[in-house]
Amino acid sequence: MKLLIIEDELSLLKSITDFFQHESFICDTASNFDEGLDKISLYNYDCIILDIALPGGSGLKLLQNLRNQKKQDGVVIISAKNSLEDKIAGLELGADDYLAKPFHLSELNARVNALIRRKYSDGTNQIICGNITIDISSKTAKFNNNQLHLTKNEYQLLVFMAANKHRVISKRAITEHLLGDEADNFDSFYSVYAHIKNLKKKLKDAGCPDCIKAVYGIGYKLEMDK
Amino acid sequence: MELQKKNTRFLLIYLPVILIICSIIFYFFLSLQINHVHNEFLLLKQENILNLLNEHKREIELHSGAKGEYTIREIKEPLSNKYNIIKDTSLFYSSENRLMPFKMLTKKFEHLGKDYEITTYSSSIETTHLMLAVFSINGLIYIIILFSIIIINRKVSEGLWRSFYETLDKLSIYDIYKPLSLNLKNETGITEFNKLNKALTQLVDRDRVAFQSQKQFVENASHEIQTPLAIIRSKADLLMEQPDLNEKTAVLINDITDATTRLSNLNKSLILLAKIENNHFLDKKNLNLSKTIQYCLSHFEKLFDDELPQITKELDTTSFITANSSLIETLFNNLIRNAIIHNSPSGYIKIVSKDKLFIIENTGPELTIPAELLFERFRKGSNKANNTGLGLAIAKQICTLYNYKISYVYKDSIHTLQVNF
Repeated sequence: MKLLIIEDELSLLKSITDFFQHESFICDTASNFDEGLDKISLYNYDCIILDIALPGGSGLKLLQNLRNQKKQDGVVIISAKNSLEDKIAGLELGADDYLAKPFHLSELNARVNALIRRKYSDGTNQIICGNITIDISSKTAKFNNNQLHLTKNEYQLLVFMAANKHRVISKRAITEHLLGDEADNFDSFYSVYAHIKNLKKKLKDAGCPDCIKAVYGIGYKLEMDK
Repeated sequence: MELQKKNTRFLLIYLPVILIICSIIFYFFLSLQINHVHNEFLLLKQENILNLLNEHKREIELHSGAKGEYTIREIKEPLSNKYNIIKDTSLFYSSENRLMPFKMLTKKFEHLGKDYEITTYSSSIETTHLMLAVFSINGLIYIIILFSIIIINRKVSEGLWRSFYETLDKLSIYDIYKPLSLNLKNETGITEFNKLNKALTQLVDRDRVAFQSQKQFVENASHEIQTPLAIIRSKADLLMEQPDLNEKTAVLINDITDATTRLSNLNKSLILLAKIENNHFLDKKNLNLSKTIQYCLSHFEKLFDDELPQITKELDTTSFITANSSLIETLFNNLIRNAIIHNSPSGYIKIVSKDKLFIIENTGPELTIPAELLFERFRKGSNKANNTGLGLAIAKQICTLYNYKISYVYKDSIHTLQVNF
């Protein structure tokens, strides 16, 4: 999978690049408007991660340019402006997703994965993670052939963890993923503990070996044998 | 009071006073003049009679004279009568069967060695009638003048103030949030109004520039702070994945992540406050109070699962308010969150909404800060880590924006927050 990351903060650019290279993406980068314009005109990408505020011009203009060239690359906007108007403007110009800074890399990863799956799925629309099969269109999951009876939150949690398998996901990232902006201002991770506990139990009941590991109290990790 | 009405009222109060004073002066001078005329007339009559007596040089036949004209009397002994002064008197006319008012003038004179006094009369009934007629006409003229002045004044000031009212209308519909400019006339034909329009245009232009830069500042501040936060957060995420991660480092990373989250929330809250203050939330909707409260509560139920305090609800499903939906959700979220966070273990929350009223009660320890500081920014009753100290300040700001009244009472270990919409 080929990924283009357009972000003017070099440090953040490096974090994102490091993260996605780990996921065996081929990463290309651009740190200003002109560089971005050159790359989107010359090459095709599966997904473009696009910052809005760029030196030399707005990321939204790049997006417009891309769509004017009839290119269908997936675009996730990452913006420091968490305003509804910007979100709507971005999505109307043909962005596929919008993520406000500061975000968790695991969240960005889940969004990029979901986008690529939507755009390039060959009709099956499934996530296969070891012996767990998640069917996105029917929102169901199976272990081997045993149906898992998950609540909405547990299902979302499983998809999120599957997208970030073999990586440490912080409790905070999980809370924000499940609750969005509502996660603000809470010191409590009650719901994360509860959902993880329930999910683990349901996986175990279906015969799945203990695959969700706690990592020193900072987060969790989904470990799956190939 | 309207300018026109005020103007008319002043005219109606002061003009009649001035006109009454004028009438008094007029009456005074007119009376003086009439007395003067009487005096001249009586003197002339007196002189004519005396001239006639002198021509004939004979004894005066003493008779009563002619009624209403004159009388001559011989004076035997000295009289205390005052002479040469006009006096009022009245004579009886049997034909009219009533007393008629007269003016009289008496003079002492000597004729052929004898003392006489002559009194001449002049009827004052005509002059009284004349006075009355003159005064009636005068009164009529005054009333006509009074109303003419008022009407002319109204008409003239309507014309004069027209451009003022135009400016006022334009100002009252002017909205700094809309791109339309004020567009006042440069040339109204009246120097003062030209100056007013010019000053207003300059004022509004300056405000618009300040407003734009303020808006820009809010956005820039958000951008500038969120970007380094995004960097810290991404680095912490990457650190978590280091293969040589041990528990000690993990705790450090956890603390960094928490602090970053806290800073990010603080930043978001400050930006929200600034946006409310700058009235960025313009679109309004008709909202069902109970539905909105239910919607907010569902998030907390999702978030806290079984850990929520016991919540009882009394929601009236027929109350509606018109406001920005995300602001009202923020208001309820902040109040409910406040009631959850500051609740005592095994406490309860009671939510009531009826008519234009929202009440939330919760158990909890007494405030450590004075109650009047509760809605101030960064006034925290506790030092809980993820409490920004801005939740109630934001709630207050939203209430201020929509002129809602928010109040707090603590009684019998129960905190009550109330919002009147």
